[in-house]
Amino acid sequence: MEKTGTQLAVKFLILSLCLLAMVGCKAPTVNLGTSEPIKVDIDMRLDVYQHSNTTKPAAQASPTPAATTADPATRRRNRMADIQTFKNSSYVGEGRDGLVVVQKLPDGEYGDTVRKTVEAENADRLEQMKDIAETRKVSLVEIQKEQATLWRNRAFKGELIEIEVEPNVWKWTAKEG
Amino acid sequence: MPPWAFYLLPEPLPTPSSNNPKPAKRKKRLWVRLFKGLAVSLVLIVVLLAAGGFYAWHSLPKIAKWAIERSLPGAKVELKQVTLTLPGRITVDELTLHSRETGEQLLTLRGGTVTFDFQKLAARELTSIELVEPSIAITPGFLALFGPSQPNDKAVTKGGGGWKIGQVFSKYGELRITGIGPKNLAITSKFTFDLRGIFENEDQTLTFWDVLAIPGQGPPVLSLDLVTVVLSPEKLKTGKINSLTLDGGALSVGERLLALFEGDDGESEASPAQNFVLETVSINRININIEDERKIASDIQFALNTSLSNLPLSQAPSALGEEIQHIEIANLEILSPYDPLAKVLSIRSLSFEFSLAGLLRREIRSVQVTSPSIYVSPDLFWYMEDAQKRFGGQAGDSQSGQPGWMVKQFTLIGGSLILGSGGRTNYGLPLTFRTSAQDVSLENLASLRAQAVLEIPSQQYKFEQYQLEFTSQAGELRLAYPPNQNNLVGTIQLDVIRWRQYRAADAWVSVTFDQSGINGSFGGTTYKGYSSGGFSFFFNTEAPWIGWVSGKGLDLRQLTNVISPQNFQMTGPLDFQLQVDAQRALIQRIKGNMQTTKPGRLKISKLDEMLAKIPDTWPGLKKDSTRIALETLRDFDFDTCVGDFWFVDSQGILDLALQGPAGSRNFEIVLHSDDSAVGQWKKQEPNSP
Repeated sequence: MEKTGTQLAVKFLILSLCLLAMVGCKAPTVNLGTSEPIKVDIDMRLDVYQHSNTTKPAAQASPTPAATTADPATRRRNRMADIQTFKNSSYVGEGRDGLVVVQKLPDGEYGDTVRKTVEAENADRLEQMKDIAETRKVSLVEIQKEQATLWRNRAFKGELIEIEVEPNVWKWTAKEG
Repeated sequence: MPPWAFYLLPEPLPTPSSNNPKPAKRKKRLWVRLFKGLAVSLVLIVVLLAAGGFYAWHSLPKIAKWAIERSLPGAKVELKQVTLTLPGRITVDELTLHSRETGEQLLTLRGGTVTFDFQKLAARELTSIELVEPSIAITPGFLALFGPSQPNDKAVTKGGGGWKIGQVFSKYGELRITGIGPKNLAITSKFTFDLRGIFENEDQTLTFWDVLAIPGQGPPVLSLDLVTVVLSPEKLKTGKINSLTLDGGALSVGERLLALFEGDDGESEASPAQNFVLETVSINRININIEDERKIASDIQFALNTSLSNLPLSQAPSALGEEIQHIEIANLEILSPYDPLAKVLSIRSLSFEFSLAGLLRREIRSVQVTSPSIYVSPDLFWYMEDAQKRFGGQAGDSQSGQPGWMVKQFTLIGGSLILGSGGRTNYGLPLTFRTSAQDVSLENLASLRAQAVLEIPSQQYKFEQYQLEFTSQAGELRLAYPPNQNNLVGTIQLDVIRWRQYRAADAWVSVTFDQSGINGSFGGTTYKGYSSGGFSFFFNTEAPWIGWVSGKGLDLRQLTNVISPQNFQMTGPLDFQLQVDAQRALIQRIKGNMQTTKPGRLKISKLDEMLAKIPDTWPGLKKDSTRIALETLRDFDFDTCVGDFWFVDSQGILDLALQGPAGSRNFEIVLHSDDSAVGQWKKQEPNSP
């Protein structure tokens, strides 16, 4: 029984010493941080939809294929964003005759889309220019020249335009600012 | 001895051898003889008178010629026929007076009639004198012949000692004055008069028409439709003429008129006629033409209407010359040289002050232009180009050494600009202008344009419809600036300009209107930075225009506070540039890019609302991770921020890329418009340049 009491005392002493040692010594370091700041890359697409309050005609209530819309001005307006993306990508430029000219076609289905869109745009432009020529009693060629000048003037910096470098010598160039 | 003398001889004395005296019978015989003698004498006298009368009857022209030449010693008379018609009419045919000295023709009469009453002849009275188609050449020789000292004048001017004439008239006559007054000046006129009651002091009227003053060769400098002179004999004696009235006609003011008065120092001896005083002078509807090589000046015409009183005849030209004339032209419109329906300039009122003498000196005392409207369109610049060609750049007559035109005082008030888009639709611009200048020389068109600075007065403008408001300082509007350019340049300084919630200070706008369109540039302090840009409006029916703006060093904090104060905020200086393509008020395309030049911070404040709304019921881990994610998204310190955007008709893309120590934030904001059909651009990733 005495042995049991001694053993208990020794165990208590050792435990106390260990406890003292643990209390007296620095605790081991646990590094929860990173050597470099945490980097978070976020890519976000935000779609903003505008809804006008005005009641629209039934024909325009739902998206209508551009080619079937009666008014060339409306068709062109619906097509503007496409033409703008083509211009941004230098696929098309403004030609000397007031029409959009394809400069390069992307591969695949998108290339086809570019070509068809440009064809439709030019058909509508021609229709509008014919109307102007008829109204003003001048030739279509004259109106085309006039419109081409206007398109060149209205082109943004970097967009492709066809300019006359010498009499009857035309060259494609990116518009300068 | 003639046989009839026998009857006058005395009876022979009785001879002594008769011794038979019969005294009574002898006496009777004496009386018979005496009677016979008287009778014979009477017959003789009658015969002589008849013979004399017969001779005179057939020699009336000679007698008349002799009588006229006797009364006008300096004249040589040609007379075709004189007819005496009893009881009291003498008719003269084709009378011509020549100067005996020079031979010049002074007066011709196709005919004339003098009527008289034999009973009143002794009292020196004539019933009437008619002059048929007199043609009078008034020259120095004529004046010498018929001058005031000539006794002929007594007939008209002095009733007492001369002939008294009941009526003097001429239905049609012609007058030509040469060698009197200004050198080389010839005056021609037609006239009529009917003078009655001269000796009863009744007012007399002389009427002239088709009066022409011709200096040397060329067209007349003065033409008068009708001139009426009213005079009364009594006043005439005191050197006064009742009235002189000029109705209708034209006066050409220019070199030829000036030449007439050159060398006239006013001290030359005045003729007696020039001492007359005109009690009333009325001038009505005399069109004044400016003689000038340039068509625009020669096109200027105005009517002279004035009245003067107690004007000495000798001073009439100078008094009339210095009389200030006022002319006001209302609602003047200048039209396009190519489109008769397109206006380039309209003026509500154009007021001139000048004197004829001033015009001769090419000087206009004042010009006031009230409420002019300049229609800015291609027609304006075509007009300017056309005017430039016509003037040849020179408005003055520098080649001939003549002075140019000068306006002493020029004033323009209430001017406005009206923008024409190439069609017939006009838009008024919110700019008024005015100007005032002294001694504006019109000698040189270029210098005139340089002087034509129109002041835009300081004003506050508010356009609620456009949410636009600005306060301008004084600005200016210039024609043809720099010189030799057919344009119109306007510059205004803006103290404050506000569009919606955006503000700029110390701004300026300069606009040049020319044949191709309207080109403008502007600049101003914006959010601690500086923005500048430009725009071009093209003259086209659709009124297209483009614009571009670039800014440097804009404070993003201020800018984002204005754009979306509750939603997000960025800091750091921003540079940007953008281009706009538009038609009328509709912006069709916008394209641009932006970048920060120093590190900054992005804070999306809107996420605070989401943070506040995180449900407390959520488990701790979910709640904490959501909070961390939102805070990570809310606050981002960036080193660089680059963005580009394009929008077409309310749809487009804004790409924003931020790089910072804590990673990157790449936003693609796609703006959709449900006004247009779905475009391919939404389906296909565009290759942005």
